[in-house]
Amino acid sequence: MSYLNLPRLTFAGLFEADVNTVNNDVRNFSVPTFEPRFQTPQRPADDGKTQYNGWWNPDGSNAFRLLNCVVTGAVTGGDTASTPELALRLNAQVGRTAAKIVDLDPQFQFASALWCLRIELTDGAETLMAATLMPTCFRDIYFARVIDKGTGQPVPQSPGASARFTGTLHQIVWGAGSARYPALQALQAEAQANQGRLGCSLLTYGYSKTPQAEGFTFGTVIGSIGPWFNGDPLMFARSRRFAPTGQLPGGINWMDGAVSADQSTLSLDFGNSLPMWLLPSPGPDGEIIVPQDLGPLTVVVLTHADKDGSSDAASPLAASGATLAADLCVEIGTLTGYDVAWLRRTGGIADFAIPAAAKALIADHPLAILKNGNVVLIRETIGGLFVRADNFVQRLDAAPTGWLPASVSLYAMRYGQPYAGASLTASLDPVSTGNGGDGGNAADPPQAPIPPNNVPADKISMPQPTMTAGADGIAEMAVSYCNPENPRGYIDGQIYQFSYSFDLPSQSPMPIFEGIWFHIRDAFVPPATPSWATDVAPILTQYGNLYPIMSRGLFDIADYATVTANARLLFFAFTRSIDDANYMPATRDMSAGKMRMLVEWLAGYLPGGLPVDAGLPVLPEGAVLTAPALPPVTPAAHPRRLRPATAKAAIDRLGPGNEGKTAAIRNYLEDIAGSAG
Amino acid sequence: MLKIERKYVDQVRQAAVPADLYDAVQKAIELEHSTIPTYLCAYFTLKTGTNQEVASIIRSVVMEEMLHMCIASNLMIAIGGHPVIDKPGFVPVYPGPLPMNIGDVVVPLQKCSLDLIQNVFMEIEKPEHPIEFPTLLKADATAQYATIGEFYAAIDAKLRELGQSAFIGRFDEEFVDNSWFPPDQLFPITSPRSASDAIQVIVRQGEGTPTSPLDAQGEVAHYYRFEQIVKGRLLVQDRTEPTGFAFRGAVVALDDRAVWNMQPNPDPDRLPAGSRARHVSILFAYTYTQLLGALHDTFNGDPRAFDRVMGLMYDLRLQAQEVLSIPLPGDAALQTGLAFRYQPYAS
Repeated sequence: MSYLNLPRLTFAGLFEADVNTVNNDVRNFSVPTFEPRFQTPQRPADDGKTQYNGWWNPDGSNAFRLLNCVVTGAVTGGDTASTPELALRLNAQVGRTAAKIVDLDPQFQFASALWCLRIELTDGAETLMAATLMPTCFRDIYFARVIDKGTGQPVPQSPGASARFTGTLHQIVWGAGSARYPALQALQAEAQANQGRLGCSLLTYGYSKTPQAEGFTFGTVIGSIGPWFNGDPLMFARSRRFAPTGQLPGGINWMDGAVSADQSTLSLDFGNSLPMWLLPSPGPDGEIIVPQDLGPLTVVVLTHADKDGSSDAASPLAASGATLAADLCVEIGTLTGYDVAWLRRTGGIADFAIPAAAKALIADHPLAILKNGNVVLIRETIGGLFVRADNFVQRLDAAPTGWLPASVSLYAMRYGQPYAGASLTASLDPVSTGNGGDGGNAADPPQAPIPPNNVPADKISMPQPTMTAGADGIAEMAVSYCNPENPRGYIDGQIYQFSYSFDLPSQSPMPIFEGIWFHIRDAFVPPATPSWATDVAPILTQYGNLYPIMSRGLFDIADYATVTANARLLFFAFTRSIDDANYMPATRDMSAGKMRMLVEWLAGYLPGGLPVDAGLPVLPEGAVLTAPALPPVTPAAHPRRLRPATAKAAIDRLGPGNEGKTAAIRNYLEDIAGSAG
Repeated sequence: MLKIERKYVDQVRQAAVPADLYDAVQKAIELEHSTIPTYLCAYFTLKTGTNQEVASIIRSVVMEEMLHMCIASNLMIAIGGHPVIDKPGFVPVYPGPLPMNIGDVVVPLQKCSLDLIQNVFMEIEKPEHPIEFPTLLKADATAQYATIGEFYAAIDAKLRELGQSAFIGRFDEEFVDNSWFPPDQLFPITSPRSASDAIQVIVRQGEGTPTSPLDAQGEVAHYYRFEQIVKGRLLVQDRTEPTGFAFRGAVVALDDRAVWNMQPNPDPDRLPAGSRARHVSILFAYTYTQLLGALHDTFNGDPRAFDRVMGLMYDLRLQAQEVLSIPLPGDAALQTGLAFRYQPYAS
């Protein structure tokens, strides 16, 4: 449940995501075809094309920073009156290197992850709370959320998008002064009862990718800190899920809600859901991106439950856009005045006291949000069903021979409660092509081919494609994998994407990027005596190609003399633990074998040789030689994420441009749109 | 030569117990730190990959100033004190005097230039007895000011006088990891003898000896190291010269065209609200402050925090490039400057 529940502290400010974009194009990993211009910014070319080169921020460092963050709201139990917390500021990375934001792979850029973010609340005199966010990825990216109020057109690409990074705070330290703040006291009590953890979600929007803009690489962040309950997932909130029924809702995105344990309060997260305006000039509060006013939004619970899991998604009791008769619902509350000040104060999360009449229904009846008093804007999923994977992005090292296990926890929920006995299914997606390119329309694209993903399919196996959730609603999706044997050639390993869902004929659609992604790295056995030319230089040359910030900001990592002269520093960076902000490579995509070779080679240039306490990368162990019984590779019938016509409409809303995530989402949507037949 | 107020030397001489030295050693820590921002600032303005000899010289001095700050902090721990590094006021206001200075040298934050090196850096590092020049100071009694050399000599003498009983600190909290500094330069301070050796590292690296521009490790002392940039040649042994050295080595050229033309002595608060220049300037100052915080942790019970210091040093360098690449709002002839200031909040 986490950040959706009370107590909750909200902060707002700016974030900087100084992402590196040379690696936006997978072809830039190809060393033989790499050209120096790939380290320069993109530029317009003839015929309306773009020469992408190193895309829009080739000098990016992958640093993620917070700026101007202050506490903007605190709620302890539905009461917002007492908020001494409003005087507090929030700092990140006190005494440490910047956090990092990185993708899993150029061929999967839809779950950018935050690593090593540590936040501190301070009243200026002392640190009241410090906590580390466990690595987590954004989800529910909502493109074309921001509409240019001047033109009425969606703001294209990332600047028009928003997303949430939801995760778990741990390593929490409380200052004595926190006792003076009711919300902090309440959060501390929750943490103490729940393994010292709290829930946290960062809403991000308004990110600028325009190098000439004042806000370049900056965007708005609104953070919500709430409880984390024992048994909760680490990378999302257990929730009641709202989803469109059959078509894209009217400018509103998938969203989440939670009912408090005592059934007194319903909390709904509109933060990543409501459409927004880009104003022609800053409004009275100085903000240029503000929520659109859709009028009063009425929150109701339906009086009739969907038939459990068997309902037809095309014609549920209350579909998006339908008019709902008054006797089919009971009102819970109405949201009004949701302007940008409200958004900053609440993170977009509204708390409603549940009236008695609704209380009788809320545990097993769907919720809906109405506009104009009776038109369904969006509703809870059919049957209140929601399944979500927790550790859904994994970096795996293969063994030279044999098979290794991995698993993903799937959380099945019904009306926000664990759905014991739920039947779930998951499967490897079919071969996928064109990922991590420029989406076409590029001038002078790199000469390397774009490798396909999800192949060879026989290098990963899921012996049990259907699973039954336990009493806690959790099913472990177990896979085995072996050495993919370098199917992509110039880039390590392979990306395997799995889809999952309830094993039911009809369900609410899932958002576009709801899946599981494994980067299985090629097995690599370090040579006994690695040499610069044969073993080390190829790795560091690729690294230097992709991260011009190294040679421009620090030193040339592909030059033997420079590398050996800086061996101590590189040894330091390559031996950090992966949750250390100084870890190299920042993208965290180097296999343990290659890393180990680098470290051992570098140690040869240290005055004292390999330090006894060096944290050497651990090579994978425990492989079993027997291949698991392979089920036939037939993708299961998962709910469509979007209908082809809806995908086409979404492509139109994306607007022009093809950089980075836009290119990848266009590729994805075109796959769906193209499957219309 | 950096002239310091005589009272600081007098305080040291009057000390009766280790605690009486804490203020002086704290001042030493602050002094050793205080040159780092101005040197580092100049170093960062050298565009990466250019001016490599100059960059190498300045960088080497910065690293040794960092070492000196570590040594002074270890000394504080050794005698039972606690270095205070993460506090407002620890960072001097630039332009301005360095800690303890009588005010004759105004130290700015500026782009690298021969003028800066000759008139500020060399002035800071000028030995008490530069080899080319006659002795400036004859006797304490008549002097209006003291020298850094005297100041450290007074501490050294006082610690010998107080003897082993002054070394009451938790030696295991000293930072002596030789991953970053060699063992003949960074070593545990546990006795008057080791304290004296450590002080000698500071003084010699800065000033050389009265008869040689080299320190005990055979490295050129800071003053002469900087002078190489001004003379345009490396200082090398030359037996034909009476001093045995001459600026007749390889060329050291400062190419002004490959130096970021940064705004001197920048103040982020004066940059337009909401501007990228202001955002990144403040984040730069914030990172620098976090570096001080990590140093503070290093010398207050967590010596391993020095790993974080090193990470932050490189973060700072990358951020410096980000700041310097932004034209100064309102004056396109200049680049946004590097604000080395105490910035406890990223706002």
